[in-house]
Amino acid sequence: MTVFFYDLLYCFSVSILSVSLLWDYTGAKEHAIAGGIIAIILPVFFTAVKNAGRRFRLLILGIPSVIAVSVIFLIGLKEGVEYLSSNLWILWIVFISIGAYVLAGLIRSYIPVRRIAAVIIIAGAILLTYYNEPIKKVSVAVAMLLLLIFMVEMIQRKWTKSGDTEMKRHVTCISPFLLVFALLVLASPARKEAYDWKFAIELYYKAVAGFDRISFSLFKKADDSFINAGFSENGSLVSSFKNNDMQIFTVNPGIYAGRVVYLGGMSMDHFDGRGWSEKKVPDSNMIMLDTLETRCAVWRADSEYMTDHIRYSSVFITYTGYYTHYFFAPLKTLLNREKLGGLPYYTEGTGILSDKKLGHGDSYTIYYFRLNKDSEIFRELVKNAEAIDRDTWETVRYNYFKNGSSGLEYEDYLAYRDEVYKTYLSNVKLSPELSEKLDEVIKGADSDIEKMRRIEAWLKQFKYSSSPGKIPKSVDTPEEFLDHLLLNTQNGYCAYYATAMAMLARSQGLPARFVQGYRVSFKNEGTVAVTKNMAHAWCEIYFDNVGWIPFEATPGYSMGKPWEAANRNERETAAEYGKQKIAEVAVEEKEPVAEKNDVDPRLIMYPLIGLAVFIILYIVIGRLIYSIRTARMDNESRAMLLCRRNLRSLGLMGYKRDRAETLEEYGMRLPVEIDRGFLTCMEMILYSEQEINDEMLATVERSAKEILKQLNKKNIIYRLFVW
Amino acid sequence: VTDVNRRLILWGILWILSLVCISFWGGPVSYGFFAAMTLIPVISWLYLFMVFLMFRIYQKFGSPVMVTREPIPFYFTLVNEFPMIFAGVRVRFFSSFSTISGLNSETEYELRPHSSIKMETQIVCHYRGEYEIGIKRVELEDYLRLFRLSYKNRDTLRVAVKPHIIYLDSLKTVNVSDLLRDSFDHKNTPDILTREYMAGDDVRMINWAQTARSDVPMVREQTGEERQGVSIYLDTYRPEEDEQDYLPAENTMLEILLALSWFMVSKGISIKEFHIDRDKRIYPVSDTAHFDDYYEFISAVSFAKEYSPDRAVGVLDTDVSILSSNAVFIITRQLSDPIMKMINTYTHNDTEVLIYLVCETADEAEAALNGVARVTLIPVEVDAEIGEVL
Repeated sequence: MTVFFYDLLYCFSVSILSVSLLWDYTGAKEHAIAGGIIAIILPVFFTAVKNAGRRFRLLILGIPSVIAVSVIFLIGLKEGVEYLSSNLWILWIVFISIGAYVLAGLIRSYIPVRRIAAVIIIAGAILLTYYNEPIKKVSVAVAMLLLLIFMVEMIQRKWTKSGDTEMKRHVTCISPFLLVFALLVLASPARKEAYDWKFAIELYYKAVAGFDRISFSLFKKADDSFINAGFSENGSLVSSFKNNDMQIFTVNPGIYAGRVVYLGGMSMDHFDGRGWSEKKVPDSNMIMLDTLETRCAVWRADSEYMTDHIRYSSVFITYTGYYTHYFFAPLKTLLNREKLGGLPYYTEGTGILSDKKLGHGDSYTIYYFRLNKDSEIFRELVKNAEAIDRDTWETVRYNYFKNGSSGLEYEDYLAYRDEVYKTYLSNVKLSPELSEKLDEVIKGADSDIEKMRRIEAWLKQFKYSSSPGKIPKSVDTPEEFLDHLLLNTQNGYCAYYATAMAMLARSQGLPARFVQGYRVSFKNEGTVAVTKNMAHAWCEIYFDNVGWIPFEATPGYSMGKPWEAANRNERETAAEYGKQKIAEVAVEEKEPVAEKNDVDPRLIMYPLIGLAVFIILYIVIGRLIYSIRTARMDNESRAMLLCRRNLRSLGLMGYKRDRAETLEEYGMRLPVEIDRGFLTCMEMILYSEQEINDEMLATVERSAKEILKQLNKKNIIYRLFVW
Repeated sequence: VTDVNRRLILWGILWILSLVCISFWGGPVSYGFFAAMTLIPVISWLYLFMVFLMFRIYQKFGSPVMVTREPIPFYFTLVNEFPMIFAGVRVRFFSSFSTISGLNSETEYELRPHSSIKMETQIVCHYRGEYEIGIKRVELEDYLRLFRLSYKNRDTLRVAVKPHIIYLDSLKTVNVSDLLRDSFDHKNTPDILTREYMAGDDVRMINWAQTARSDVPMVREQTGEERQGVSIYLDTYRPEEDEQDYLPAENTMLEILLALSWFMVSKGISIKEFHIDRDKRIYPVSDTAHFDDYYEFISAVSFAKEYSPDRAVGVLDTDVSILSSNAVFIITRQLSDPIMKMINTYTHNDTEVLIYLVCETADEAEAALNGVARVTLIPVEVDAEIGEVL
């Protein structure tokens, strides 16, 4: 059995490996189960044929032959050939298995072949990985198993030790562990992509967040990480900044979020020529008032097709390597809930803040209205916006705050508008040269929004640089900054151009502010990791009766494409949708199947005939082999053969000899009707030098005859196992 | 770097390589490689753990009595009751106090399922005392020889080993005839106390000079008390705590004691052994017929830190017979103050003192005894051959 299992281990591995590697070329794809069964059974069959004794070998070969012959008779030779020619994959698998069996034999028997096989497996694995060729997991698992077997054998060969060190037994006895190994390799996950080490990155961010948390507790520095994360609360324009790809949070966009989302952290209102600062207004409701204002403008202008102008969307944000009080949110955020992601918040100016320090693992969803800012229809809306009356305001407000809300009354809105002008509209007097240039840019623009679009486009023509150099000390006012940037250097990064855009807007009488946050673009659907590199600054400009609208003046950056507004024709088409004819699905007519109640007699007859023929052949061939063997034997060998047969027969009859039992003890245990004469002869053969004469042989033969008679009486089937 | 470590390093390199692979390439090959490299040690340890659970050792000795220096048969059987093979098993023996002969402890064994390996050899215990002998540790190796699980044998054998008796023909350090001749007091008294021979007097007691002078058989008249053979004091104080330190020294002391005792008794000199344990122990032996009992008694002598020789000094006050011995043998490891006090007591009573000092160096003791009359110091090294020293 040891040799059988050892051979099977090799044969099975090589066969499965070969079949799985060549599977796609065999055409067995659509017959996975049947093909798999054949691929598993054949190695077992071949190995069994090789290792079985004569009798079982005859059985193993005979039964499939009978089945094959029966099947041929049953379906007919011609049909059988036709079936095989139309299912060549069966032959392929059989041929591959036969080839694998031969190869396994060579690998098993010759060490150089084994080494070559190992090299081929390793080289093949490297090449397949390198060229990203598809390969089945089962092939890898079996290849690993084979390599492990090679390794075990190599180690065993070089291992000096005492006891039973026979190689085949060694490998067979540890094979359960090797098979468990192969099964676990097979069960282990194997992605198509390289491993992303997400857990390690998570751990790293957790560690960083933990460090931030501790350092915050120890040194009480407010939002240090906020400063490090790409911008600062003081809004200084620095000479250069470094790239930092550390992940700080992730964003999962909701439906209609678009390709780009601008997440603002805070905005600033005052620029002194070198940096921005903010007049903080506690609990001002500025965010919600702005959202309602825009919503009112859209509702008032185009209540039937509002989604042409704005779309309700959301983003889900999870902090990873961040530690801050700030929630990041897009413009037009709906703050109609008490908490964000289960966290209480408050507003301060345009910032949304948390009492609790937000850090790793904190997450929240922000709902907002995305503007179709660059669309023609939205520009029209801004251009033609009418003053929002009380009724409109109250109607829209009621949609979001049904139970009433403090600070969002119509009067609050009016006060807010005044505040916007007061806070975000400083008097910016441009230099004559710049003024002249700007006039050229906005020449012919018939509306504020058009002017701003032109300025935005103009600024985008300048150069982008992450290290524009220090701002000269002489620059001390917004006007001087604008001259320095737009007339001299024409070089800067986002904060420079956002500042310029805001200042130029103010010069045209429009309130404008500088916003810091993150610009997140989604290449594909799913979560995006936001790194410090994505920190960005942009400008928001207030349009009367519409609200704040963002502008991207930084060269190379864009706010994303507008979505196509549903035109009137489409609506009409939609109305007619119900009239559209539903395509008729042709129902496949099934051919009537004739009911067959009669069982084809051949189904029973041929296998039975085959079985009978097999039994007859089995007995005849068995007898023949036995006669040939015994004819050439001397008395002792013949007697011993008969004695062993007698013992086997008695075993089948239920009188099996125990291992520790002597022949004498066994004889005493046998019932009286059994002829025990052969036992004396067997003892003599085993334990004495005396020759077996004809008389003794006759005794044994007599016993054998009697025992066979009794065996026949007991169960005739048993006779098949005794020759 | 051992073979095992070398293989572990190789596995470590391959495992790191598999990490690199999955970091750069996806697919079943790189992930399968990583899984294989990760699972190899896991399966190996699983195998080792199962072998650890199923492995059995049976060991026994061929004699119920263990005596130092006397080899006795030692049998042990390594049994595999597991349906898998035990790829590498190695047994390590206790070697500090005993030696197994005819076995290489480096030999590794492979045991096929449900099999056993029986080994028959001999074991020699070096020291008297109670300690563990036989198989000390078991080392198991997995089939890839990546890991080695070494653990203490759960069924060690603890045996009580008796001391060895060295049968001496003569003593280099003591003149036995002196001990026999000087069995009486007044050895320096002029030989004038005689009387006429009477029937029944010992012929050996006839003073021939006086007889010649007086023409009448004259015999010596015995006066005074007969000296009581020799006394042997065994110092049972144990200065160390480590078995490795005290067992060899104590074994040497007991061998000296038994060698002296047998020698004296075999020469017809009665002995009186005394030592301290929980109590004061005095064991007199006058003939060889009782020596076996004496041997059993000595075999059971215990040593301890609490058994200070202070208490032995008190014995001299209560048992005058010890003081009246022809000579006193003191077997000790150090000449402590109580021992010195004891020596003084003996010498003041005109008793010869022989000190067997079991130690590495006897310089200090020699200095301490310099000039003290009737005292002989015999230094004995811990591992010395007693037959040669005595």
